[in-house]
Amino acid sequence: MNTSTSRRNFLKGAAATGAVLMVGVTPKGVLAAGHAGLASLTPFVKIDEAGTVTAVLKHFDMGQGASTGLATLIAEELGISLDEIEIEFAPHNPQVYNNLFFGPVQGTGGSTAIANSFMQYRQAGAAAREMIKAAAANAWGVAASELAIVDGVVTGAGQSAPMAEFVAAAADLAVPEDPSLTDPKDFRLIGNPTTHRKDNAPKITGQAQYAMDVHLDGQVVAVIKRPPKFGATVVSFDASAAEGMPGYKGAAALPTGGGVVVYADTTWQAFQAREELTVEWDFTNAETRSSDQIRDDMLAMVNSEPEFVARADEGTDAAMAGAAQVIEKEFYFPYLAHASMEVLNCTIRPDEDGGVTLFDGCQVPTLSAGALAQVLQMPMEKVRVETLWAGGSFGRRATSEVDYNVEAGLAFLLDGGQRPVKLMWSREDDTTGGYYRPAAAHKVRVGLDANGRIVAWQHQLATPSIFKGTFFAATQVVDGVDRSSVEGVPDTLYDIPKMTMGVSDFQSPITVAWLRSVGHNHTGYVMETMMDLAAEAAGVDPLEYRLSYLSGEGEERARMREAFQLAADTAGWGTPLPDGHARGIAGMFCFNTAVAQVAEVSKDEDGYVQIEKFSAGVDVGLAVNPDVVEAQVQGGIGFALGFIMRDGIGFDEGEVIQSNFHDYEPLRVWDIKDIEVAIVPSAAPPSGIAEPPVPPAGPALANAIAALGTRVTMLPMAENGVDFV
Amino acid sequence: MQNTRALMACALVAGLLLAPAFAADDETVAYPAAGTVDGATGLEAWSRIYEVASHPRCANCHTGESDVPMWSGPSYGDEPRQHGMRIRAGESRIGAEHLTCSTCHSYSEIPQTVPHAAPRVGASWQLAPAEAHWFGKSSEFICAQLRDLERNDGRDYLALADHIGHDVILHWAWSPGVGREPAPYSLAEHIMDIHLWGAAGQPCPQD
Amino acid sequence: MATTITVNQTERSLISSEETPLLWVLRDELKLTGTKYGCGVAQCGACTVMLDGQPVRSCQVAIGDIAGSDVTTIEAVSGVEADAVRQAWVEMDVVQCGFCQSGQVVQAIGLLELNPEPTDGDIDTYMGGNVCRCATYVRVRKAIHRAAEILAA
Repeated sequence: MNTSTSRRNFLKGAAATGAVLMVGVTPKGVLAAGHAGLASLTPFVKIDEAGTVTAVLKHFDMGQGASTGLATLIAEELGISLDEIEIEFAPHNPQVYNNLFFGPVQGTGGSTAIANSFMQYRQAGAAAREMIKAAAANAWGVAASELAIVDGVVTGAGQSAPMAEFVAAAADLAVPEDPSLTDPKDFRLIGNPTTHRKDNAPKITGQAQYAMDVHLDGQVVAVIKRPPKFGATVVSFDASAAEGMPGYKGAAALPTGGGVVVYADTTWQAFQAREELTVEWDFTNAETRSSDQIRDDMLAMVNSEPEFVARADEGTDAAMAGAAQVIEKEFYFPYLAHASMEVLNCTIRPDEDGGVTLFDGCQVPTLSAGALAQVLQMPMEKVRVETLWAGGSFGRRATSEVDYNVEAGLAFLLDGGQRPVKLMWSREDDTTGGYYRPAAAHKVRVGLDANGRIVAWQHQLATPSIFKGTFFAATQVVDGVDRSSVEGVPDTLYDIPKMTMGVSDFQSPITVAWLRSVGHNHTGYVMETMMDLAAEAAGVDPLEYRLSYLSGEGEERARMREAFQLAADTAGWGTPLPDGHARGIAGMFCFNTAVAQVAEVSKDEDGYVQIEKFSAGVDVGLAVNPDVVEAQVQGGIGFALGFIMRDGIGFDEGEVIQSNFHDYEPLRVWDIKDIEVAIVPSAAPPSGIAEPPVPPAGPALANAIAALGTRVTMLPMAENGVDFV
Repeated sequence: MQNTRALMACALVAGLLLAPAFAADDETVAYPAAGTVDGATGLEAWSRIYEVASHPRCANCHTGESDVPMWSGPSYGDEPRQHGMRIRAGESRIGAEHLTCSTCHSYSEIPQTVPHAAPRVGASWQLAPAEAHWFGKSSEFICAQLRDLERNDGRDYLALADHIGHDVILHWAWSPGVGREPAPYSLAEHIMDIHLWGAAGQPCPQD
Repeated sequence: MATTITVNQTERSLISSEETPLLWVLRDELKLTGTKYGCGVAQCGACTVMLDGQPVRSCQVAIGDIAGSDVTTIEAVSGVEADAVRQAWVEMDVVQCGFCQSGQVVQAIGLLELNPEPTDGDIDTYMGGNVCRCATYVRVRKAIHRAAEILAA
């Protein structure tokens, strides 16, 4: 196992000197500091005697830039440059490294990494700074208040020395209870658009270690042949044809019925041996419908009485009856695979104390450790988690069942638990493996008065529930309504005077999970399409129409207005365009962030559509790393456009049709020419940015294409009347 | 149809008797001499040749002036679509102006065992010359093209049969690797058909 | 029986069977894990390496076919184009999750070796086979233009 450069340097430094200043928090949440080796101390920042500072990251990094963000917070307060700080991922310790928004759960999700850590990591950095200053003040016989750390050098009172000289002494000092934080007007790094990511170098030299790169002595590779249809189970299998193949080590049925594990020395050998396996499946409880049937069933549900009520404004039906004009549309969104670049995989190693270590691009270590503890019948403390760089996730690495960790645990047990087992998925496994963004059907009726103002909004939704049946149901399901199904509709910031929303749960063994922005990635499309249609019916500019529904009170509405205005200004909304070009606008407020986008598209003589440009306006509170925020907006738009344009998981009598990138084709480099991002200046606490750019991209594109003549409400677009270049 | 089957059976029997282990340059295969095959039999042979030429394993890389190869298969829907990744073979027909075919299509005699992987063969992967446009073309069009020395690189039918027998990139059509439907008939049958068609005077449906 | 190839300037005698894709030999046998598995079918470019100086998808290369060849991976790719690409990638902060970036970087080096002043259109066709699920494409394009600038300076 190669450890990261930072880890190696850190260990070397620690071994050489034995004295390291660590600053963290106790399980009670109060700041604590001391020497390395203090078992009770789980630090956020460590400084060795050579002065090397390491930020310990409680959040994993799937590309969203949390590692750069957390390092920025420490470096800012400590008075060092971002280049000087090392990073390493924290071990699992939910008492200390928990996400402050999740309770006692260590994990990343919901675009919360920077938002929940902002004060915590700054305080740790500030405490370390104050302790080093105090140690220097003692050494020099001056007041600490006269000193400052500038670029790693303690300076003041006519003295100057590298902070490394004071680290050992600082570790003996009491931690300040409430260290003073840097005044925002003095920020050097926070909010600085010229800082660079911490993960550039390892990721352009092949040195960054992902879970897939783990090779442990004596390990065996496990791959699983899973049921061809969701809900099917293994009856029996025959692996005799694999006997004698190079590297083949054996096969065993998972006790869950969820597949047959094949073991081999290497990944390729395991994939090859799996091809030789024959399995008899029990399809009694399997999904056997095809895509068209699934879509028709969901569309039938939105035309029937709903099971649950998400909003029921009194008088909506009467207002609708009195409407001068009613706009009615049905929408359909197919299942979607997350399709991270790094397919799911993880490794479990037996440890000498009878516990195990999970090597994983681990999104929610507390879920993973908890699930493995159950599978392996050991206390959770004995399941250690070594978090590595994650090659994407988009939510897939954080399913409530942590399915692939459980599979690895079972494969490890079935192998005897005496050697490391590396579970590998192929791209085909990843595409067909479920936990999809649920398909969804919407039917919306919007009633307008004679002036084009909305008088009533009737909304019906059918979709599989993500949360029902999981332990999150207690908080996420209210009166039968899975909040993640409807989010963005009943809680819209638009001042819709009368709204009803009904929901029905679509039942299927097809497994579902959250995908980047969760429910918003379909509700946003519906809301922003209907608002555009309403504006059109009213004969009002779509930006102006939206702003008129956001004119009410509240900070969120104000932020949304600003985002819309900034996106429009960036795009030159209202300025003339070449023939054949058109713009569309859409926005959404989610994860406490406002994002608005303007799409510009063109259509050539043969009717082919090219996305020319996206312009975005975002209010993310204080942007800790503006360049990372920009990258997330660019990436979120691109991620969304890929599936809006051409992706969907389809079924042929229950079997997934797509298998790899040839028929589940992501966005590619030519698909969009440019994305310009403008950030609303803000001193408010930072919110999240990984997910909020996703929902507006689809409807902004749809509204632009509609302006060229084609209104698309059934996705993906390429299968529903839009030819892209 | 009946005739076709009978003839195929004949060809098969002939093949089995005369060339138990077919090799492209096996001179023991008895091909008909020029002028010894009647026009109707020649046309039957042509119809089978057209089945091969218009089959996706062949036609997808005979896209004419368009330098874009085609893809087809069950997971692409009913219609063939353009090769993904915006691949263009350019005037070089090997993608030299853009992204060379060899970036993905390796030179290999080891059969492809992964479904949907890039086809490969023991030759440099490339698009057929622009003059040899088959994709979406009628039987009449392709037939006229194949007997036109201006458009078929100066090959009479014997040279054509020899070309098919020796250019291994063409043989890929009958051994396309896992998950791809081979072109109909066999390479040996196809060459026999070229001979039958040629010996009959290269008749075309429009004649 | 064993295939011998040169990897990053070192001759390696391989134990993997001849049909094994170069990708898996690099990753599992030689432990050069910078080259990534993304799709296994030449659809994503994450496994791109230099084979005798040309970018190829290593998942499509059977080692039995490349005896005696010269392979350079992301860990060792070097030269003025490589330096320019890496500098530009850092300046533009291209990476996100980074899993495709080994392939993007090797492919971009191949582009600039062939064409030191690529247009947007050249970039689109040459880089079109490299998938980035984080959709860093806008920055990939800008960084390649920037690398061309660095090379020209």
